[in-house]
Amino acid sequence: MNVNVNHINGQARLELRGRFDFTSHRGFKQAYEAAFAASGVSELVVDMGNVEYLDSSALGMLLLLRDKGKALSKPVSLANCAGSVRDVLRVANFDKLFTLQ
Amino acid sequence: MPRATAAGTRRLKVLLAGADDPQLRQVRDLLRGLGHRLVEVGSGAAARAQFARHRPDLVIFDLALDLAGDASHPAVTALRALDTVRWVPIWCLAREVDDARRSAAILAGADACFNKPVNVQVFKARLVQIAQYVTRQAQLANRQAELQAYFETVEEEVRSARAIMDKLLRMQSDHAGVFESWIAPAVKFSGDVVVAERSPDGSLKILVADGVGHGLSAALNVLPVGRAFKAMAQKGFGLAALVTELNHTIRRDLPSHRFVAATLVNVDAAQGLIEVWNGGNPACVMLDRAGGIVETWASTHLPLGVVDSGELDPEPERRPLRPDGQLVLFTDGAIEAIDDRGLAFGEPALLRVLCGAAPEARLDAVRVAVVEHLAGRPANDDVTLALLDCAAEMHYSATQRPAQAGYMPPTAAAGAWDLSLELASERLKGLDMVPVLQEFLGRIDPLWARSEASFSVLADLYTGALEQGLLQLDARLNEGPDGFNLYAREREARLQDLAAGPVRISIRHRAGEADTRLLINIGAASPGAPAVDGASCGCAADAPAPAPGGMPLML
Repeated sequence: MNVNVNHINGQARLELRGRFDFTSHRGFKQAYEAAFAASGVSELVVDMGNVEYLDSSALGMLLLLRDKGKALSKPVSLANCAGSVRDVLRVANFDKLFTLQ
Repeated sequence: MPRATAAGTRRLKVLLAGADDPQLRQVRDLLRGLGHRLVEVGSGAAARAQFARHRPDLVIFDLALDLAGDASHPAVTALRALDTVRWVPIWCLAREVDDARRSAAILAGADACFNKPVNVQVFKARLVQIAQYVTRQAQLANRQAELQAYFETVEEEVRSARAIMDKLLRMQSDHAGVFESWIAPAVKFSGDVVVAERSPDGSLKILVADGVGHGLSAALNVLPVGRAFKAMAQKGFGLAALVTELNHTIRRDLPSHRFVAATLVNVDAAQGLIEVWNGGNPACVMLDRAGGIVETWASTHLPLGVVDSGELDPEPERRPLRPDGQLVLFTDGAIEAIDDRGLAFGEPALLRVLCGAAPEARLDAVRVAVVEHLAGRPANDDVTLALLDCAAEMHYSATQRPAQAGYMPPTAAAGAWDLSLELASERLKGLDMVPVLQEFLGRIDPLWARSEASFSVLADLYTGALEQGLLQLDARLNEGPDGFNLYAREREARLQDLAAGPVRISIRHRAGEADTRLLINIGAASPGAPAVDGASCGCAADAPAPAPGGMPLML
């Protein structure tokens, strides 16, 4: 999975592309930690629009990200969740944990 | 470890094949002078024999021994074919080496072809290169041997771990004809677990759980969950207590965010009731005999272990049990099984296969369809399917469910004991008291534990005292299509608002000459609510005398 990070007006936007599974752990963590550490970042959005596949390990990574955001008081939301990605998030009831844009 | 040559390079074992002529003697003297070890032969056949015997680092072959007349070099080719494990360089020697000759030698299997007599400076330099190559090869071989040993150790540990896990996860008691399941691990360990266990009141409790990820780490996630579920179901805890405890177990014992998607089911055929709690698994479905989907239970909760138990709604959804239904539970592994074109099997296909098969053939139909879809590829995730036949469960309940007079104890005069307990309103909230009492009585009196009816006695007394006595619930609420849920919601609401109390529990054990009696009284003491239930259970070899105001039961 590839992660591109854009910063716009205090918002860090992580654009994910490809399969978001257990092999993505390191890259995803490095990306969100760097994004949180960047100066002026007050919130983080994970853009799931180009995620082809999402497994339960990826859900675990999103939970870690959510905890990190809470600890830093920087809200985390998920954007462009569609198709199978939306289905997986819905079955796991992650809309109770994350704002889905 | 081979000794070094005078020049400090690795000492090589060289197989030298050629006719005795001055040019070959030059090569031989050069090699000896450099300190390399020689095995000398005079024919292609002898070279092959000594190659296998001495396993040289380098072969030097005089093409004068290998003149086939058609520019091929069958002896060199045969030598090259001998080396199967490591690459042994083969150098050829010839007079008047031109490009055609060098090409023919290389095509036959040689690595280089030198003109006779050899250029000493170049020949020495190439020998140094070969020594470095052989040293590197030896290092790689050592590394490979270490990896092989490590691999074998890991394999042995995996075998051992699997044996332990299989034993620990052998969760299902025998429910032949009522409940069946299929688990296909994506790798060596399954992160899915299926448990089906009967409670003391005869109800069947089922858990289908899917730990995050797959393999050993996922299997370790579901292991404590499965074992806790089995132990608590055996003691008769309700689904809400099970959900709360399993969530607590995961939060307490597992690393952060190792959550478990889980579906918990309680089938109480005697009451015609089914309860389902689905957190993170695909919707489970009820099919009728013709293959129609008549009910679904979508995931309405977060998986277990994501949030603290206080943030989790542990109440299951209650519905009347369909006597002709077949309940189908599955994890996401079957849905996400990917074929060689990258297409997932999908939920619609899974449901199509289920609906298109006869009830008794549905498990096999899905198994065949998923295996065909995968076409030999490993699944992304563990694949699990479980089916419960409601008609068979109803039949079990009507015919096999433990009767009240299941065991005739010997007349015994054990020491008398009394238990007296008062539970104030705050204690009654969120407490599943019946299994606690059952556990206590079972430990103090093995006879009690062995009687299947004992749990029902306690449950009836406690429920009556709490729900009708203290909470003033009208049993008629249970009637109607959504009666079970209405009753449960009302019960929960009144319990949360409860200020009255307490519930008093009194148990007295009396051993007489003729019989042994356990006198149980559970009553509510709220103003305006009578102490409704009292019971005595006589344990006797002959018919016990009814206790005043109680209901006598022979255990």
